[in-house]
Amino acid sequence: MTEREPVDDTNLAAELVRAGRTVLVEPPADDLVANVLTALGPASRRRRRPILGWWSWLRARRRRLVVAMMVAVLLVAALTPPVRAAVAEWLQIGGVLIRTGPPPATTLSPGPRAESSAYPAPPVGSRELTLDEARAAVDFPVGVPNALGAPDRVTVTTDGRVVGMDWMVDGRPVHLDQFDGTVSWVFLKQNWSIVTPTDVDGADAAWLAEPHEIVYVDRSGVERRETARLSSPCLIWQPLVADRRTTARLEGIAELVTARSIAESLR
Amino acid sequence: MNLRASGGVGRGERSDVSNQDIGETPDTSLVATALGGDLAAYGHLVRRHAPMAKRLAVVWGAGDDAEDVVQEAFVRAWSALPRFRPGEEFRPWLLAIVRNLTRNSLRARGRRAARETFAATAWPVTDVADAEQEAIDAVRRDQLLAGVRRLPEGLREVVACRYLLELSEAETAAALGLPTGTVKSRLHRALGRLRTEVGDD
Repeated sequence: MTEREPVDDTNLAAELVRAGRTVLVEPPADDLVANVLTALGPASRRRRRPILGWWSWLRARRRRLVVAMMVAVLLVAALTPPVRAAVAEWLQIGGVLIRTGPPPATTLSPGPRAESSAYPAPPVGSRELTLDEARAAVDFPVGVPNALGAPDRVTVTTDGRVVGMDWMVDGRPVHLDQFDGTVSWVFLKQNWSIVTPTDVDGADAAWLAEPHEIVYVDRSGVERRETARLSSPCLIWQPLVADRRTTARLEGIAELVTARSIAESLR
Repeated sequence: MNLRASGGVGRGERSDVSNQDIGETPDTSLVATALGGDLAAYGHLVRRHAPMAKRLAVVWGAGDDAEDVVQEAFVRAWSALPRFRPGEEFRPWLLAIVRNLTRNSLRARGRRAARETFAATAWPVTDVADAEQEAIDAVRRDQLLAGVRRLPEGLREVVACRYLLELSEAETAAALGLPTGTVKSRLHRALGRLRTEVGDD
């Protein structure tokens, strides 16, 4: 053995790190937080299931997980009102984190409702593509609302989680995000005070009338802080595109009735 | 991609979460708030640390059960939170729970089956090039990872924490319940063995 060992250790260690980075781990499911908070919530304490044995209990729970709808939602109902008021509520759908509550200290760039007639900046790390390129770049079906026609601009986040589209409608920017992710409407309606429940094509949808913050979240769960901005009212629903449920978020339409008809025109 | 969540040993006294951007609230503040019964703050801790927790579960051999293990780990961590000592870092403390649960789940499958499964089933890898990372030759990568899997458990665990999960030495020690000196010496021995088996590049 030569005395070069420390240098060799460093090189080998660096190689192991690079090797480790190729180990592929799917991000945690969208419903993980909801499931954890449910398990901790007051209701579950009354319903403690008998533990049959650690293993069979785990198997039984996994079957329920597979059936459950997915989203990470804050279980605000468990909090007393004064505490709830102090806590920023948040909802994560796929690649977008939506936050309400007291605005953060930093000034956020305004969203489409601002005086400027520019589109909101796309998330850093997303690319502008044609619609066909965008469809090829992601592994979920992407629709276009016929009511708005072909978008003026299409962007895709580099991790392929969110497809964004922008239009100018009467001089005001309108933005649509489509994600590969789903939403638990039961949680949403029970626990989120800013939501106005509505429907699109007969299925549950949510109208967020108050301005709120959105931040894009990548596959590692890291919030891309530079993407934080205020969103104007938006409609969230789950379109069925090519027989697959995805989630869509339409922003920049002031009236719910108009937003719903645009949403219902998504193909 | 392995990205470190914002930690914050000693950075936060109990702060008013509402006045801070939650995305930047240090773990210590969230833990303090969660200890007051605040599920909201705990939910944020879950979101923040779930990807790394799942990564550890997969590397430790959880396979398809990784989601369940991670979920159970967070449920148990909530009950264990009062035992969390101020000044402890949340992430390695949580990862210790994930590790224990993963080992339990493998034991539940039967010792021999677990050992054989771990040795035989490679970690899922991607060869998709990421421009931000240096490329590694796929053959070399396979040799290295196979070599890691063949290490005795004590050496394998430090290598997995330190290099595959990119925890610091201190975090590795905390997650595995070992003194830092032991971590250092095991890493050195592990690298020596790997170099002998797999050879230098």
